[in-house]
Amino acid sequence: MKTESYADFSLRMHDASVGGRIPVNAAIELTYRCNNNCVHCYCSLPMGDEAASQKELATAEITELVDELASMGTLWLLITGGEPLLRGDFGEIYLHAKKRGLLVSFFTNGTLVDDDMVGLLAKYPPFVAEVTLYGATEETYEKVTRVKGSYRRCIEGIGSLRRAGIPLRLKTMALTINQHEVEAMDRRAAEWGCEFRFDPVIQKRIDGRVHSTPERYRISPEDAVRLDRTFPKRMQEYERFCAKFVGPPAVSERLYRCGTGVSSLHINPYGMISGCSMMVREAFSVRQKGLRWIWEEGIRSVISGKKTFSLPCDTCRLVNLCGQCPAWSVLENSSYDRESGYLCGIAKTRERSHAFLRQEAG
Amino acid sequence: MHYSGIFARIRQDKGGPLNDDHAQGMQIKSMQIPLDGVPSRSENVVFRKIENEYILVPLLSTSADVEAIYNLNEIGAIIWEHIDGKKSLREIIGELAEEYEVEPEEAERDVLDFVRDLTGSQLIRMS
Ligand code: SF4
Ligand code: SF4
Repeated sequence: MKTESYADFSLRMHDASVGGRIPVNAAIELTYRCNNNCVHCYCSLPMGDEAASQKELATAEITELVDELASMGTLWLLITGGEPLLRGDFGEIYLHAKKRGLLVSFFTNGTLVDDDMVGLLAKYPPFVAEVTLYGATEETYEKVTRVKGSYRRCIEGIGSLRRAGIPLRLKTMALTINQHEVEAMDRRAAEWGCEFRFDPVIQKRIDGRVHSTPERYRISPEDAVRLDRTFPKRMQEYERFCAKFVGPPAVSERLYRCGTGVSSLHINPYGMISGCSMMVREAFSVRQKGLRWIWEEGIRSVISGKKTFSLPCDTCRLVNLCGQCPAWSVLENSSYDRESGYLCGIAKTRERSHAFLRQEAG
Repeated sequence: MHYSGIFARIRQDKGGPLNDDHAQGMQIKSMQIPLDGVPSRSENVVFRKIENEYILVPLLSTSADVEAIYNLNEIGAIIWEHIDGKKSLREIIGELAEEYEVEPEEAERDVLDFVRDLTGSQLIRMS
């Protein structure tokens, strides 16, 4: 029997999906509600928010969507939130997706993992379960989550998942109040035999509500560079990435150039579907239009939309690095025609600070 | 129509070393498969066709290699779809030879190769 590496297979599937415009990757947020109250969260609502829970897609609506995704060729499904385990029907939805032959992953804060959940996941393993750590110590962790006892519950949750042999990854968001513990979190993950990643980029709330003010917890561009340097392996990967992708952008009239909506789609808790989680302006309601129309007509028209203004980004060599895109512009500035100063600042600071990025300029 | 073992096991890179494919292969090659036997598909995997790919996605953690995803070629997929837990190999071979207008010997070789590969990976059970 031949053996093929997962990376090669994944690449082949993605190439095929782009050619055929198949949504091989889908993500669904089951709820924006969460039992934590993280200072930096871009979407969370209180766990008991009745009005929010009334609006959420019902179990049957979600399982129908899963069936339709499977028939449209989705292979990878990410279940996320808010905290997806907060919904009593998480297990049912998860199992439904597994039985349709999807490779199901989920993101969780790890605090609601009980024996039943572990039993289900042990029998029907996820592609990967990803738990977010908010600190390496109880004090820091709970400064972020603002919920007493959440640290202990998370550590216990991770312990149960590990003991059951569930494929597990850990991650964190680097914030002003936990950045000093990112290294310690990385060490802890290594002790547990888990892959670990962190992200220093914090997005604003997508709904303008006040439960959290993420931008107040953004680390400075200098701190982002310092963290880059703290992790040599990550830095090497970043250097390789830069070697490949730094350079002036190809000329394009398109508004969206990132490839969103070509092989992936995103479903929010209320059935609004778009190319990705950040495209809040260009989302279509599945309750009004149906998934197929949204994919074939709605999202297609969004991604073929033309750009009618110019930006410094049009000729910038860092365009593939900084993460700037129209969705970010809208979230940061409420309009398409200005780049995100925040993303730009991080990218330009990196360019000045990392020799491999500067040299390219010559 | 030729199956020719184009059945790949896809490994997630995080996995450890593979089991000894060669030794396993030798064992399977010499495995006698009676044509009156009835193959049934494992309930541990779900069959998917996406674009031009035919994939067996693992469902339960009890499959021999829980982290593997399996990839069938078109012939493999056709054979897989003919396996229903009721028809014998002989019947399946007859059906394929007729539907695809190939010599029964060729269909037999394809089906037996396929069944050897998949029983080795516990994706098919013979009874
Ligand atoms: S966040 Fe922006 S760059 Fe990323 S997928 Fe969404 S639209 Fe594209
Ligand atoms: S946001 Fe700044 S770094 Fe990014 S492409 Fe625009 S100008 Fe360049």
